[in-house]
Amino acid sequence: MEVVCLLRIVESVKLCRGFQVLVEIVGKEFSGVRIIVCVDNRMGVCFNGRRVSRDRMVSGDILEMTRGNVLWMAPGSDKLFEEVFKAKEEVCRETGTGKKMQDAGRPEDEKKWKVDRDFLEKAEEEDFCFVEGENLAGYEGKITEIVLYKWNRDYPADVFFEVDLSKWRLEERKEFSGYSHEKITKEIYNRQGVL
Amino acid sequence: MKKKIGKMRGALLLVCALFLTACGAGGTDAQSVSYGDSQATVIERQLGSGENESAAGGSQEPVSATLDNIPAYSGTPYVVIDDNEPDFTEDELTDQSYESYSDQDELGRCGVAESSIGTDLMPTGKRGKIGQVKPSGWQTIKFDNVDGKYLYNRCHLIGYQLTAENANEKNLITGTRYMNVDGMLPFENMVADYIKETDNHVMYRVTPVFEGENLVASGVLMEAESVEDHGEGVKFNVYVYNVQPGITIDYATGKAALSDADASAGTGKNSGNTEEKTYVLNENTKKFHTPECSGVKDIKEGNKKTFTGSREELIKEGYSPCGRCKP
Repeated sequence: MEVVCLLRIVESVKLCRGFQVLVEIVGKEFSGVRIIVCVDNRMGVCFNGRRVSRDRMVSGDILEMTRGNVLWMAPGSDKLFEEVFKAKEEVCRETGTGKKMQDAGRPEDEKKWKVDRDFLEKAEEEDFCFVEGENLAGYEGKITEIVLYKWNRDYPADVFFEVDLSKWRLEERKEFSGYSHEKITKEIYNRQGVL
Repeated sequence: MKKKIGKMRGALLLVCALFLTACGAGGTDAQSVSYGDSQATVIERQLGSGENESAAGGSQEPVSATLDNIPAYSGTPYVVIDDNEPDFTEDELTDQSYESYSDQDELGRCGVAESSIGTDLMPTGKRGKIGQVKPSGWQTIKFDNVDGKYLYNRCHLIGYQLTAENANEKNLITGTRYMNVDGMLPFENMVADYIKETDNHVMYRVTPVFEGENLVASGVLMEAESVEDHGEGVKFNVYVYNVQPGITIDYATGKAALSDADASAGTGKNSGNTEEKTYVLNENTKKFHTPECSGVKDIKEGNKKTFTGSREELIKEGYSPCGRCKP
């Protein structure tokens, strides 16, 4: 999904850590990054340095959604996607399909995954960022779309997703069954109005 | 499926009282624990002081204390022990499924329950009736300020969703609704979903902690570590308080009453919870802070609210204190 914000006014954007950045992009086309986060019922993301949960159906959905775009993530997160990718490869091998990855997933996926500790810094326009325990302080103004996967479960958490969604517009919601979760809700939010 | 019920190392009795004192107070005395008739084992656990982060701002600092110096309940259903490092030995971590429950002691109290949980132990059907079991200290008491009215649940040490134990009296204790649902259940969910997703095993141990000859546990120690990935997926060590906000419990008998103005929930200590003060609330995370807390600046304006009133009032409304400023 392409998100383009046309900024026509000078706006002061307050960032998470209390400092301010003056955005003076008048008449310029501006589009930022899209982040993907998985949360529990209280917006918990991680506990004790580990993700609160995981589901291969979510990983597969993310790969599908980000097809054709760059998907950034931190070291450690890529394991979730490699497992899904390998499983698809295995299915192709077993079924003997010569078309291999074309049917199973995205042949360009491996090239498009970018794993970097500073991925929030390096992500460019239109890129997706899979966020787990990363601190979004200082990056909120760069985000134009938020994709939330809700586990619909209570887990313990000590890292929370704290972006105030009341300033964002819910564009899309769908529910689906996970592999290990009864019901997963996917919500896509866009930033309302100008930055 | 292979179950080893009864393989247990004997009822775990805490031979010395577990004093619930404020964080940082007291010395470094070890906790004495005896396993059945075997000689007493001394455990000393120093909690870590790692740093927890919060996506987009907030934070919750871990508590530093020893197991015999667990901080008084202060609004959060559990406290992290030993920087979340469980106390399993290498020999205990096994990828062979089993479960084991202690025999009850002479007071009818449950002891340690442990399991290497795999998908083969998990339930395939809905839970059956357990109402016929009367755990030690059991009372049927209702309060309007308790979710579902009933103060006590027959609380599984190892949750049904993990090992499919129904009315096993060695696995059921008298636990508050709050401990059961807000304290233990989230950890059980995390373990259950991880096992279902990965088909790995999780080494899991729940130890009920009784003070002296009390019939109702003060809380439970929950330890878990995923086996095949050496704790990469799941690892925790927490103490969950057997308290109910707004209710004072007599842990010797299980009798309970609405907390009066000067009683703090669960510990019997006067912590001044009803004193009116000004707090800053984060309506998103349901945390409350002192106005001076460094975490306040990270709260989004839309989520921030100033509140003047008692701490107890906030806790009753579902708020929990910030781990940084400890209001």
